[in-house]
Amino acid sequence: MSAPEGIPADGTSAALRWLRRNLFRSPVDALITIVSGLVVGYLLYRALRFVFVTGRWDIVRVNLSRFMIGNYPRDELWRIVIIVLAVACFLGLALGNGTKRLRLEHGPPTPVRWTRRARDLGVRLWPLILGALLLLAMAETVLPWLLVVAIVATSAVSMLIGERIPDRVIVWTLFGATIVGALLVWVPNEPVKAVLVAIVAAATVAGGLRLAQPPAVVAWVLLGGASGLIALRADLSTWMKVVVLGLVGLLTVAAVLRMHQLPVSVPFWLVLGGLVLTISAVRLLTRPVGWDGWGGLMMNLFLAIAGISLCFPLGVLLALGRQAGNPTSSVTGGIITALVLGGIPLAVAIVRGINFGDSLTVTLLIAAAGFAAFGFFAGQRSTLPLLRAVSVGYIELIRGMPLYVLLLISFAALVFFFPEDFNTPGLVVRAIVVFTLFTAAYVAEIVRGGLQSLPKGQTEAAQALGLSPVKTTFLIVLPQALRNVIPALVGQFISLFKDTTLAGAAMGFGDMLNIGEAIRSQDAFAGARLIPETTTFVMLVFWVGCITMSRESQRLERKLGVGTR
Amino acid sequence: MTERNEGMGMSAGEAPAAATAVFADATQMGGSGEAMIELSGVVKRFGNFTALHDINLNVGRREVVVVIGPSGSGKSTMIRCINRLEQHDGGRILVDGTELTQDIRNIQEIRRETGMVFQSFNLFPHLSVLDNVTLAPRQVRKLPKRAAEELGMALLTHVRIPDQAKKYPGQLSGGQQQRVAIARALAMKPKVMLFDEPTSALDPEMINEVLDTIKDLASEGMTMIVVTHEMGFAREVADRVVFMADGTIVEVGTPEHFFTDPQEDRTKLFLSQILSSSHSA
Repeated sequence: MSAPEGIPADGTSAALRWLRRNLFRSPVDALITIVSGLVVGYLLYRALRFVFVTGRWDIVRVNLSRFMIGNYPRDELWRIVIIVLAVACFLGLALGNGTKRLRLEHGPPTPVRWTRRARDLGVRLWPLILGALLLLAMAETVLPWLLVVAIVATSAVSMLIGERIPDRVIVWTLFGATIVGALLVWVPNEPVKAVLVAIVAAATVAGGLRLAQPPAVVAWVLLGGASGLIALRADLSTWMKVVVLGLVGLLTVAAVLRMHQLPVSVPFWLVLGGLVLTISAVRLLTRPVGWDGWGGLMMNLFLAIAGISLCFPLGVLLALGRQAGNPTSSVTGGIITALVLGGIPLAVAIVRGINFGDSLTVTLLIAAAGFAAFGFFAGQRSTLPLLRAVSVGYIELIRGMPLYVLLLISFAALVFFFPEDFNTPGLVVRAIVVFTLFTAAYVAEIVRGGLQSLPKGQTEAAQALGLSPVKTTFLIVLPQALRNVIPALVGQFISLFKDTTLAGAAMGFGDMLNIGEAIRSQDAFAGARLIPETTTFVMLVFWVGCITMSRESQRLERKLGVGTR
Repeated sequence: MTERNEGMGMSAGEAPAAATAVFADATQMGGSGEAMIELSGVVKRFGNFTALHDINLNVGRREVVVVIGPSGSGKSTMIRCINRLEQHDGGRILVDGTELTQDIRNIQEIRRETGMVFQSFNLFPHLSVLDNVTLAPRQVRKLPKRAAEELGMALLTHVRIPDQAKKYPGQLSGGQQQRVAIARALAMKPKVMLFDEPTSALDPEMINEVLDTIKDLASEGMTMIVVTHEMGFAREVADRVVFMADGTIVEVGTPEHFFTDPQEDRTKLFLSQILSSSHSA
């Protein structure tokens, strides 16, 4: 503690001593201190002058809503409000349930007063709070204020609810909300909609009361079938129908499993609910304008969320594929090979649009089935090296390509790879595909690191207990491996969020950065060269998002680490 | 060649050469006389190195076999072959009549019936103690959650740590962790327990609590193979002691015989080294 210099008796203050010891220890130190101090001071002066004196921030203030949602029709704002509140409610429930789980595992937390909790929350989320306040301060109407208050209230209330109600009720609520959401969005005819929603609500309540009784399960299955039929009848694109039917299938499977008292956990329902929520949101938001009419921060956020949620499972599969070759993971190997090989023609078929009258679709589907069957049998033993080669090849190919070039290819050169009558997907879809394929390769490498960090004894212990290779992977290996790589994964997701601006640059749709570009040519600001103002604002918004993600991931990491190692 | 030597006992009147033949042959069993584990001509190679040469060993139902020997002698490899954590390259392995082959169903069948306890515990750190114990019954035996938890609590009581059920493995001492590992293996209601140096990673003061648990199991009639360096334990619990060196079974015998009147020079050398370096045996 005590410095070796000894105690000066001449009464110099502590601050002076600190200065001398750390900044002016030798003449060279002093010189460096003075020069860098001058440089930093000058830069700081210029920055402050820009922020408070010369900057013309009215360009941001006037175009605030444009920065947030682009040219989304202002009559349709209620759609965004509904989605934002639904997301807040969903996240609140999930968080509340998570808190409850932690409490069950680690005992009740020491009670803290709400003032203390509020202060902790402030310390935790100060960048987000500050950013939100800054935006609100620039708002010209009271509506944004109301929206923020509603978001905070919704998430707080649903978090409290999620903390207090039993898991079973959450499962039922999510189940009900899932179907209600799906119906609200997809059912075209108003009276039919009302009746169905009423039935679902009644079934949900009844189910919640009677819990997993067979009549409720029958009701679920009937409802699943009904919504499936509706989805088929409704005026949807083919792949939307496939998605809906897939979800209905999942719901039915889950209901049947539930009937047999097998564990269908809250996390499963949270993931399923999240999926339905995302799809419903997309459907609701694209109805008036289509994807390409979105813009601003909403666009960047959507690209990031879609990219993150799609690239993660693909990356994990690739990592498992690259790790395969261990002879004990034979069945896993078979399944993975089947998914990878069968998925390729299936994906092409879905992207082309499934049409059973079209011979190419039929060919592709048959190819998918054949590839999958081949992959399953071949992947189990002798050809695991093939699977590994496919994974390694994919990962190394993608990691050797610049993201911007991939985006440009998908923007401009995609047409050369497909037949002329091919209906190329919209720009946003293409951007999402590129982000997914690109980030999956990096996620795969991160997850592989996590897999390798696990001691071999963990797999051995699971095998010795008789757990199948698939269960060993999903119950023992992945939960630990993923927990070990949370920081790296979040880092990758942060860079994906930031890279969404590249998509705007490559493809020219109205993301936040391009909005900034466009508004500079408005009459009021033309010729004023306000590039610093708009780019600084965009930068700040991204910084708030990224720093919040990063801090929350550190917190999650600490929480998950409690008492487990 | 062993037909004339029935039973386990050593008759005093036999010539020393014949007695050597009796104890060098490990296919004779103790316990109830039915074979639970049969190893015949088992060979295991790691690259050019042969870890097990022609291992023949039969373990009877309810028999406790303790395997000792210098490190690198193939003790662990042998018992790891029995539940296919290592794949043997030659010979046959049967557990309760099921032969260990490439067929994944046979492997799973044998693993379900065979509990294993590792030197380094290998508990699952992301699961609570109770979840560690109930995982396999629920996932493999398809026991409902409540029944599995009752079973788990009963087993944790059996190994004398029911109050730790909600904790995580990292919060327990080494001895407690190893007892949880034993409970976890027992939860599958195995017919055979394999112990791979269960006390080697423990602090000295925790060794006894684990050995006591294993002794309890032995007295309840569990079929067990225990690889260990604890000579006192071997002497107390074993029906037979197997001495391995350089990938072969050098000598087999009852504990009294083994520790007081070993026949092979290699055994004598090992025992003298053990006894000079430790006073516990």
